[in-house]
Amino acid sequence: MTLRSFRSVAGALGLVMSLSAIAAADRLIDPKSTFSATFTVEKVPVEAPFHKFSGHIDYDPANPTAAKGSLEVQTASLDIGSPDYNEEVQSKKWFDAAHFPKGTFVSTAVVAKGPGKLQATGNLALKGKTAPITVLITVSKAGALTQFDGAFDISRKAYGIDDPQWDDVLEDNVKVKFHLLQ
Amino acid sequence: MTTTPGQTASYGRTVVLLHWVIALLIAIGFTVGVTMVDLPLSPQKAKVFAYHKWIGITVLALALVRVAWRATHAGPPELPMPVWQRIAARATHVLLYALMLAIPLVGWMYTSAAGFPVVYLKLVQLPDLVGKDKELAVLLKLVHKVLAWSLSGVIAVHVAAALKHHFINRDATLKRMLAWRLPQGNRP
Repeated sequence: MTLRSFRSVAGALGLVMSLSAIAAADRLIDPKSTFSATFTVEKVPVEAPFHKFSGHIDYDPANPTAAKGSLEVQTASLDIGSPDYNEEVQSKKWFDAAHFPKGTFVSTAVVAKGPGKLQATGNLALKGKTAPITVLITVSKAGALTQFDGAFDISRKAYGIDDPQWDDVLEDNVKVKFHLLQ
Repeated sequence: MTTTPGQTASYGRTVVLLHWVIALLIAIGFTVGVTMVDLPLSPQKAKVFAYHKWIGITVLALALVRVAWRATHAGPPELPMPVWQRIAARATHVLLYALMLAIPLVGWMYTSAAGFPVVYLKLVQLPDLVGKDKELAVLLKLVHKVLAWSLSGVIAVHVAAALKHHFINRDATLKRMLAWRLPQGNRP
């Protein structure tokens, strides 16, 4: 066996092991889920994915308002598309990922808003600050999985994610989008 | 060499204006492009990248107008010159047109693939030409760069030829593209 093929087999084994570890965890969201932040520079919307996040959703279609969910996002996993931007956004004025590695959302109340629609209220904690947010979620089936789609706007400055020298080009509003499968 | 009125006929104001505006924008766009990539991360860098994209989109639009104009309007009669020069001039012009269309187009594709859409003059968001794709972005960036440097080479040939006609052959080649008031030489 060549070194290269050994590596790919080892890599594939590692992948299978980590996938089964995820599958074994109770009611964890599927790895195909996506979570992103869209910020606006010079009127240009730039959507950047977070590569690392986890969470779970308790959802019973027969009793949707009893649904509960929580999500934990690794702030250092934001990928803006170039290494210098990715490094910058971890620094103290922005995420300060060294001190605040995670952003979390925990739902507190869910209201039904028509067929396939839920309105979730919960607490968003980011960079040491916690504030309530409300988000409209569309629920649909995707094969054996249930998908939860939604988006909400936050003021990054309200969470202290702010470097005033960028005020001229970077808007305060950030759109957070999620597509969660479970 | 004697010049007849037909030989000193201008390309016409539209062509002359388009030529020099595009030339100026290419010069600025190229200079900005070469310098901006090494700037340290800052709000100014974000602005300069936006300006570079606006310049490129403007060149693309003006180049399309120029191609359309050329397809529908005859230029002045060609100046007498050896066949090899005529062929060389044709080839250079074809390359100039191809590159001034291709470079902004590939740049636009690159920024689409990189996930940074173009918002022209902060007013109009242009459609993404390709989906977000990191590997494709790396390739398109390289193509954009190679084509831009190629254009600088072709422009050098084009400028050298124009100066040679003006100062050595002392013919009207350059004057026809500078002249604002000369009679227009549109063929019937």
